[in-house]
Amino acid sequence: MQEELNLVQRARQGDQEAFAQLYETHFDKIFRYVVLKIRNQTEAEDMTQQVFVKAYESIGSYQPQGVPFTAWLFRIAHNQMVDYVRKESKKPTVPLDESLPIMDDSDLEHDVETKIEMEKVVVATKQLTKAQREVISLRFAGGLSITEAARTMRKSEGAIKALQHSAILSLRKTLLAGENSVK
Amino acid sequence: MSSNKDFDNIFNECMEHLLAGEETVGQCLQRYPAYAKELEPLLRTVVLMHKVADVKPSEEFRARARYQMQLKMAQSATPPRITRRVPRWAIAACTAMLVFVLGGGAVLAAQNVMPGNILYAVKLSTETLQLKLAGSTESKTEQYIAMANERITEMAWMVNNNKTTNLQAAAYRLNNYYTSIGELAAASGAKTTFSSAAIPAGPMTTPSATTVGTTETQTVETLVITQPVTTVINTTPLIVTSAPIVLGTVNSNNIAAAGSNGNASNSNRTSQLLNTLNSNAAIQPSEIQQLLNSGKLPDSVKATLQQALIQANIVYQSAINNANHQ
Repeated sequence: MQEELNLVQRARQGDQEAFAQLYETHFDKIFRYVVLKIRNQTEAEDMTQQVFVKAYESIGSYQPQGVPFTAWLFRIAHNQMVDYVRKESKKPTVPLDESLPIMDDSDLEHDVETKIEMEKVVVATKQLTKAQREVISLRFAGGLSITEAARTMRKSEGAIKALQHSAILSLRKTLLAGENSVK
Repeated sequence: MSSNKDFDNIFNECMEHLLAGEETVGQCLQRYPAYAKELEPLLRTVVLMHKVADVKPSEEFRARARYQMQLKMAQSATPPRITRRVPRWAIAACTAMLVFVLGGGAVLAAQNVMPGNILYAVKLSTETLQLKLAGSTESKTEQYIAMANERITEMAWMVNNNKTTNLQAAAYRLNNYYTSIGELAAASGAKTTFSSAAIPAGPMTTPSATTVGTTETQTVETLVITQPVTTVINTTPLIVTSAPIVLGTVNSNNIAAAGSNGNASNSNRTSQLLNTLNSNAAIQPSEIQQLLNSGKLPDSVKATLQQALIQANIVYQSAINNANHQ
């Protein structure tokens, strides 16, 4: 944690090597968070790059005492997505199956199985509230801790735990209902 | 109520362990058998979510994104600085005013300042202004050379004074200047294009044990570049480790020989460009090499400098190539 603070401080002062280290640390998490939320690999790749470009451009004005770096970075990603969704809402919807991300695993059977599971989960998450969805994305895709998710969403840790719990419960019910309807 | 709170805490605890890979669902249920029936379906959902969310970017995208990020950092003339509160246009305007109103006194004062000094922005701005005012290709080349030499001097100063914060920015600028010199040379008729080496189309490239340049014993013919600079797809982190570059020195006699051995109908423009490159001791590979050997440069700065070094040599060799073919 202290190491990240030092890196952030150096990056704020224009140290590109420090920024590069932050980039490496958070790249996968941001990509996962974005791709699972917008479910379009190409767009997610573009957006992931935009998040880091934006972070690089803005890091000079970032105030570490205000919000942790991880939370700041995820807020940038969140804001990018809000813009994206706003623009996309004016376009025709992309069929879900075509937009799901391609797994890096070469095992085709595993890919298909995961894709099916993913689709079920994606459908189930649509039943969640906005806040529940955000918590799930931050915790599972972004890999954020309860504390980090709380700072990102400007909520208490207790509220995040409650949202997480209710989200999992709701997902479970929806998934179970889906399974029963198939039977 | 207490029971609900207990359950919430247990669920959260188990979830944390599952996400951290410290425990399986079975292990958690064994620890809390009284809650097993309620816990199990929720924890299975957590595992499913975790699995679904385990998406990794492809290596191709990772490399491409890394390269583009590095390019973005290289392109930003002034990296983000906390202290920079004055917009660039204002610095440029002030510089122009200082030049015309104060007869350049303040600008002259800024000429010897080093990175980190409050007047350094004025120095850079003055250089840019001079570049814009340079009309001919030769003048522009001279200005780029002067700027490149200035950055090398600054880098040496920063290394000697343990002020590493601005090293990377200086190295990037240096690389950009050499790219621009190359582009000017190419525009003036050189056969080799420089942009392909400077901005590779594929993922981020990094020099890897590449031999560039020539030695004094080589003939003029061997100075002609026949192969592009080797590029390596980099799948390692953005911070690249340095790789040794065997650098030959560009001999001014060779350049002169290249000029004289070339077709007698060499254009004045090309000759002037060669002279400009030569007479200004344009590329300072030995100084760059000294910096690389100093052991004081961060790896990322080394990588940028190595690219600058390659770029510098391409510029020279292409100019010679140009002379040989005209």
